[in-house]
Amino acid sequence: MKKALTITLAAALSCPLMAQSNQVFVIKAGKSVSINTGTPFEQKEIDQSSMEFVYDYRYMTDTTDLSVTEDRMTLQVGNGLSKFSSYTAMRIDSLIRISTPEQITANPDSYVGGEAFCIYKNYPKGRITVTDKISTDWFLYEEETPVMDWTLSDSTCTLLGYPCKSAFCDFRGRRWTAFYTDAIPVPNGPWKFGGLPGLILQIYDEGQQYVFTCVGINSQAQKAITMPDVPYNKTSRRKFYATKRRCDTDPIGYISSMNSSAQVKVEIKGPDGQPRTDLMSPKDLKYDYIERDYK
Amino acid sequence: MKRLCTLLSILFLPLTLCFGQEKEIVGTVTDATNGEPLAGAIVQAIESSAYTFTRDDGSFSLSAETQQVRVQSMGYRSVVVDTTGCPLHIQMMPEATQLRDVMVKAPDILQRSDTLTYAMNKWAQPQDRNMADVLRRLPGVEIADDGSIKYNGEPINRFYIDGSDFVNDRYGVATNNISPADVSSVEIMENHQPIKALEGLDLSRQAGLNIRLKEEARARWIAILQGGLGGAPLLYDASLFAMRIAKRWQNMETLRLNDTGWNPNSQSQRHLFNGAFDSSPDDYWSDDISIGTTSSPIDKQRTRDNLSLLAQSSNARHLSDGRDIQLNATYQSDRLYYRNASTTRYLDTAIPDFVEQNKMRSQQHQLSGEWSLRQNSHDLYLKDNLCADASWSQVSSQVWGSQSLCQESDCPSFTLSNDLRLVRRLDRRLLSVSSQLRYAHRPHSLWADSASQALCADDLRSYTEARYGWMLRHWQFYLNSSLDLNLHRLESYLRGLSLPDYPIEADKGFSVLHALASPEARYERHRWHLSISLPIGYKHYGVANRLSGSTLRKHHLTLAPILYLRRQLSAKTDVIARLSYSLLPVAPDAYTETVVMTDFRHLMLQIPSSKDEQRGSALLQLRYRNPISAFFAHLSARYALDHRPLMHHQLFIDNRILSTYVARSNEVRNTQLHGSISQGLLSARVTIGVDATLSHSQATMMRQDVEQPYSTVDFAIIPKVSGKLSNWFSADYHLNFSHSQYSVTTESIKCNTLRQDLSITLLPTDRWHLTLSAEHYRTRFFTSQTARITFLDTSLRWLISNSIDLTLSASNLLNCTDYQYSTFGSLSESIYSFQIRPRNIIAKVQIKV
Repeated sequence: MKKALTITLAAALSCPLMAQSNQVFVIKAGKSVSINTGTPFEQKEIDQSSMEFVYDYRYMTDTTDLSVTEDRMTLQVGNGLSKFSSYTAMRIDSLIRISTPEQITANPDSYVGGEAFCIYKNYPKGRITVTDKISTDWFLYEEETPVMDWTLSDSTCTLLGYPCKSAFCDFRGRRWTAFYTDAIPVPNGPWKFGGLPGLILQIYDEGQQYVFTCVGINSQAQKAITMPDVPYNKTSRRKFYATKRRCDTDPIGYISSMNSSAQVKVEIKGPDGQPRTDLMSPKDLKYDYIERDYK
Repeated sequence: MKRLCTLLSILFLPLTLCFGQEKEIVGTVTDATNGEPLAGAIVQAIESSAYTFTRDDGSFSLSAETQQVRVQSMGYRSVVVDTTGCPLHIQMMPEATQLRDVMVKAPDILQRSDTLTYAMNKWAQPQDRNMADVLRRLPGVEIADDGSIKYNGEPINRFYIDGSDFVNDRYGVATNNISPADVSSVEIMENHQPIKALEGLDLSRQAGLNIRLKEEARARWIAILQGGLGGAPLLYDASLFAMRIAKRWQNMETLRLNDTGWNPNSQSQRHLFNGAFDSSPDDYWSDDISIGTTSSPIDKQRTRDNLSLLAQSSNARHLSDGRDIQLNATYQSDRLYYRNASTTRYLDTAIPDFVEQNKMRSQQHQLSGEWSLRQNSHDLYLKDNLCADASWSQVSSQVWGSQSLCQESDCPSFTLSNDLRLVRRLDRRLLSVSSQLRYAHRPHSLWADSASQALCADDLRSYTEARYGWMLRHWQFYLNSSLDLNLHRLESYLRGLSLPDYPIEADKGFSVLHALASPEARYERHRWHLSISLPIGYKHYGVANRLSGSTLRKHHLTLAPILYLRRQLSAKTDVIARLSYSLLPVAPDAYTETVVMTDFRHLMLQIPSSKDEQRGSALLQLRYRNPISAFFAHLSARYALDHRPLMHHQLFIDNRILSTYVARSNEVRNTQLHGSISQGLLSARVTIGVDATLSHSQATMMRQDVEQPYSTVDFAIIPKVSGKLSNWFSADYHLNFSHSQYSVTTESIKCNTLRQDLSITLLPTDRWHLTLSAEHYRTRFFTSQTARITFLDTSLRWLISNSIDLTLSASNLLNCTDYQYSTFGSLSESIYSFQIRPRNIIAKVQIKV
């Protein structure tokens, strides 16, 4: 059973750190996540969605022992723009809103889960915006809507009752196979994918290290498409991946360095509340990111 | 001239664009109602795979070899237009695009990393009274008849309630009492390593099971009071179960008194957790005196005429920093009356059949207390467990048939044991020390008419094991060493029997020393797990005969290499192969060399051998699980071959049977195939499954100085289905067909048994539950005779409120009184007949607070 670890920042100098004490850090499946037990952030509405597609997102967190992490994602398609984000994370955010800091600190395992990244396509116009959280920090980068050089193929299959055709493309270090349906004339798909003459219902890379599968379709989903209104660190895609790698391989080092000016002592506790010293040293990632061209 | 060429090319350019081999199709797409340009519409060539999207101004250009294009956009009717009138002006009519929506349902089994979660709101049904009822239905989970839980063919290695394992290995009390209404989910933690210091090092193949309580059931006392009265004869059943699971304190208290056939063992029994670092040495000495311990394949509740009491208290306090203190105490008393009859045939015309009728009364008391202190953290595991057990068992029986006599046994037993285990992890090194100290005193006696047997054993055992390990990148190396010292004193006196050729008295002191060194290497990479261990030991036997004053010393070398290989074929499938060999001396109890009377008919005489016993075994196992489709399967094949220096020898002396050994090497072969599949269907409403086992064994024994090879073949198949077919109707059905064949040189005997269980529950409203159940048994004996029995039971439950319910149940409506079945023994076949509890009715009230 893999459980979450809690990291508390104990202040060596107590007074200036009061603001930091409302952060609970959790490392789970090799990822460091922080929960802000203080006031939850605001959301700003950027569009209204008209359709919603639900995807199961599965990726290997250890390509040697084939352990996988799964999440449920939603693709909200609005008037021109779309948002792809984790349904689990959205549910946990609402849970944090109704919980007290004591409840969260007592049982941090229940307050983490779900992918932190959000992908806003055609926002701003002609570009995509990606937001993600590394440790306590929110990051944002924009890029031109990526061009995927799709090769359409004749092979077909049926997914969720829709006839699908397949297409291939090489994109940022992985070879992808997509199944799209022209019965849904929405040139969109999970993650950054799109640009096919129909909605992508399933897509996976060679080796199936990353798999997105559509499991739900709601054509009448009138909901607000929102974006967290937080101070983002604006960066570029490559710099973002470099930072993420630094944090994922050495979460403790990353947290310590981020808080080094404040002289904090990092204390790590396991799910049972006992201190752990074995996690202080950096570890190699047992998987690679979905985009491999950052190195 | 140059100008003319330029002019011509400009004039003909549109023509080449529209009619060339690969032409450029250009145009605009607008909304037919307001003329607004449509952005993002899909323009796709019909005869080729080319496609494009319209820009913000509705324009597009597409290079393709096609006569027609199709234009599609969400919210507009699709159109197909000819490309002849290039550039194209396409107007689209708004029309709601009808999509077939697909609702997302939560999966029946949720998988998060290596934890599978079965949500109770999906898997529990209204008629389920306790967690055992629900666990039985979960695909991949099996509950054996003794209450032990298995996951995909392997016994679980820990049982937790809200993350606390305070009930320890007596989890029957939890599964049989916790109400599914208080539980939010059942979690199976695959490859569970309960010792945190070994996490990531020692990958367990077994799973842990956690019962996660609902938020409202935590940190408060939950009590279930039950009282029932019925007839005839007078029946009563009273129980109290109280539980409080909080972060610091965990308590579970049980008290039950009843005479309705319930077996207190179902709750008090220990289900041993065996893991790599939980190894405990085999017990060399067994209890020899045993009378009246035949059990029937029929549900024990139907045959037991009992008066039972069970009081159990499990408490734990969680201290800071991963330390726990646990205190468990159990008292159990069981008084039984029963009658049975048997006819034994010895497959030999020279030996007459033996007819026995038995009227028995037994009284058993058990008291045990357990205290443990534990620290389980990532760098240190420390557990000290102090356990005191006392039991008294008195049996008296009246026997008639081929022989008429009375026999009586008195078998008290006192045990005190302390277990200490320490695992220390220092970065890339590991040190583990475990020590067990146990003292047992067992003064047993047996009287059968004029003969009497006194058997008094005192046993002191000290076992110490140290283990040191280094961890490299993909390799782990361990050096294990252990010292096992056993001091045993045995006094055995057999009186009132004349056996001039055999020793009937013994007063012996045994000392057994076993020193073992075992290097071990493990390799783990690319989904391969390999482990090789080579235990080499020295064993010393010292036997002091106090009657003759002589002393015997024996030295032996022991060897037990094991090769283990595991390959994770995919996330869902793994395959395991295990090869083992062992070279061991005969067990020290062989040096008792005195005749012991085990019951009025059976005598036993152990004799030693200086030759070693060799055992070899091979195992191949395949496991598959797919939690998304709720499908679980496992398949295993096992082969074992033993070379024994001593052959079992059966001698008929007057009307007694002496089981002894002769120094003659012989082989015992066992082959077993086992497979099981289970599948959850229709979003957890139906579970189907089938278990099948085929086993074959071959051995040789001696009877009256004649060697007789024999073999057995057993086959069993158990299909089962359980499900809720509608909101008001659910049914459980399982069938168990078994076929046994026992062959000796002269004849081959066969026996078939069939058991069917059908239970139907009707829920006309949420408050009323009516259950009808039928059990059918059929046994076909070797004589082609057939015995059949059918039990019909019914119960009606009325849930007055969420906390009070009334149940009226009637069992054995057809009032069957007698049941027959057949078993095979050592070159013999017995037909047993059991008395069944008569028809009875009981009314119960249950209050939950």
